Amino acid sequence: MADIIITSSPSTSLQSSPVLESVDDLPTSTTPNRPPDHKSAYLSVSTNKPRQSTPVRNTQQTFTDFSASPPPLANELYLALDTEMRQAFVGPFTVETFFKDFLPVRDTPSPLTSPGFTDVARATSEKQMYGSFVRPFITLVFFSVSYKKYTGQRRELALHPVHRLRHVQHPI
Amino acid sequence: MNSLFTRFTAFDTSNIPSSEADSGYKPDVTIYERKEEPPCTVTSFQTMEMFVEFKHGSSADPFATEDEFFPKLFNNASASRGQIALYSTRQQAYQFRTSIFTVGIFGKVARLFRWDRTGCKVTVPIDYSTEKGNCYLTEFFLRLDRMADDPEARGWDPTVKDATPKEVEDFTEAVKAACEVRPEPERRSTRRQKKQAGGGKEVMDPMLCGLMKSVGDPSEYPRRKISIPDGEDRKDYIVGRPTSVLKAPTGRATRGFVAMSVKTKKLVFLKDSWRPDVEGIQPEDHWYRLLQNGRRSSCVTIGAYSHGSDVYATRRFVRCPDKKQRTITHLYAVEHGRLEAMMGYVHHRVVLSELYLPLEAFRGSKHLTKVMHDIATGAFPEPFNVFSPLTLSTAIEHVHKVGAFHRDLSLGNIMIDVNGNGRLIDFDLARLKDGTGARQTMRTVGI
Repeated sequence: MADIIITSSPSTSLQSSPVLESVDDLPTSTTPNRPPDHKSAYLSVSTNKPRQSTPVRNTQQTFTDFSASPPPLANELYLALDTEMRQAFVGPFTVETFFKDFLPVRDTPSPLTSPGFTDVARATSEKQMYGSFVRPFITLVFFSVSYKKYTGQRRELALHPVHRLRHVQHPI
Repeated sequence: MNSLFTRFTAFDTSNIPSSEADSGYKPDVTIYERKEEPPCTVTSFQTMEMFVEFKHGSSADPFATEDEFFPKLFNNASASRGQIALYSTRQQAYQFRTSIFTVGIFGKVARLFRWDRTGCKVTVPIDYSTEKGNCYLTEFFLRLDRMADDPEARGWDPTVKDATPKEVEDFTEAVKAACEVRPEPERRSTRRQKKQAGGGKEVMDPMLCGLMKSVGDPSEYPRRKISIPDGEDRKDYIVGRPTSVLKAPTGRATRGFVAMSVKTKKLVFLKDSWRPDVEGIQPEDHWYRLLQNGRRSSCVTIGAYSHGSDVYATRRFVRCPDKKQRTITHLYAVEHGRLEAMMGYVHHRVVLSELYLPLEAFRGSKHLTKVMHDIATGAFPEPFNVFSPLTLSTAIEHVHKVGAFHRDLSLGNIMIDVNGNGRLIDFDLARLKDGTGARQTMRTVGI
């Protein structure tokens, strides 16, 4: 039986299975009653040196689809994915190179006149950072005057993001 | 007061998880193109342009760049990178992209990321609390704004478009018709089918019943039209949900689809993947042609090849030698002192002329055993080959007969056709028996 398990001829061997280097590597569970004289039979099959295959790597892509285990917790998943991906980060790129190669535009954007993202750096918590970050993306309008006029409700003069106006029935 | 950026908008989605069925993740801030009215204000990996991930604290940056660039190995740094990699995976799984941008805000510094299927390019830390750093970060979004009319340059695949309402309707009809296929009396193989038939009930094929569910709901998986070259001609296919979900942001990203030919309205199987760009490794369509040897199908247990091709961009992009959609991260790796080899990929699509279902659609244990036998029995040594050697040539035997190894035999690569036969697909890693040619790096089964 042993000579069949460890066939090392390229034409018949399973490429993804671990290739055994020596007789001592034989898994005992598959050869429980292997007589000592079987050694020569095994070696006679392995006339060529077995090719060394790399070990099986259970990545998220190949493993989790067929796993019966419960899904991992978020943090476990992050750590597992980072272990796989750590070698995939290449850098550091200077910002100029990054812009030139991946974000080429004909005319470079004009010098900055607005505060941009400086508020984000002053935030005291992560939650505050989100609000400060999205502010430059949102169109702001003076809204409260018309709001008070047409709804009769008191509201301080304030800037409101345009998309929030959609929730109010505006008569204009 | 107008916003600084006119074509994109951002929302705090830190508390609004994605509604996509197998997701539920919530990046801190999500950026969308201003296309829809009203704009999407929740997390949607289908439509987002990019996400921004935040970490508060002076030492939140997960990379070190003082002496040399390397990922920090602390648990929180590791988790930060893992979280960005996970969201990036989800975005690429739901969209058709060649690359995506991501921004990480780590305390007072920001880093810009650009992912492709080889890896992720990372910038130096940008101290955006200073005027210069703030200018850089703002310029990134201003440049993105200027590129609003050029989605391909932002990493969107130009060969994929939204399907028209008529095409969506045709696709739904075609899938519904396939679901209602009733098995012939002699093919009523499961006990339940026989019992139902005996009781005079309508008998449906359990294997095909789930087809409608497997293409996904149109609201969750909008139907897309994929264009694939066929010689001088181009053929269009409508697709819904892929048969497998991507689990990593890099690698081959193999996605199979139940697809409908726009011209013939026939359901087929479409495979979209990134093939290793290594000299000596043949594209998948080469192997299908070899296996079919000029005939329509030379073996009933191998996928019936129709046509396939590398995917082309509309123009040449930076560092690409031609117009093919390619990854480029590996080309920068050596310049940045990387000693480990990184492998490039080329986008490749193959159409098989029949409808195939994933292995989990099997009817019962007897059917599953038959499917496995169709594919692989010939690959195992004799004591394990419990089936009669007089049966038809199995898929693996057939591959070996033409002098090749499949080298990627896995459950995801075994499909079932509408007649219940096992079909072997995915010849991305196949090689000739003589073992000549280049070795693939970054592979577990490289010889």
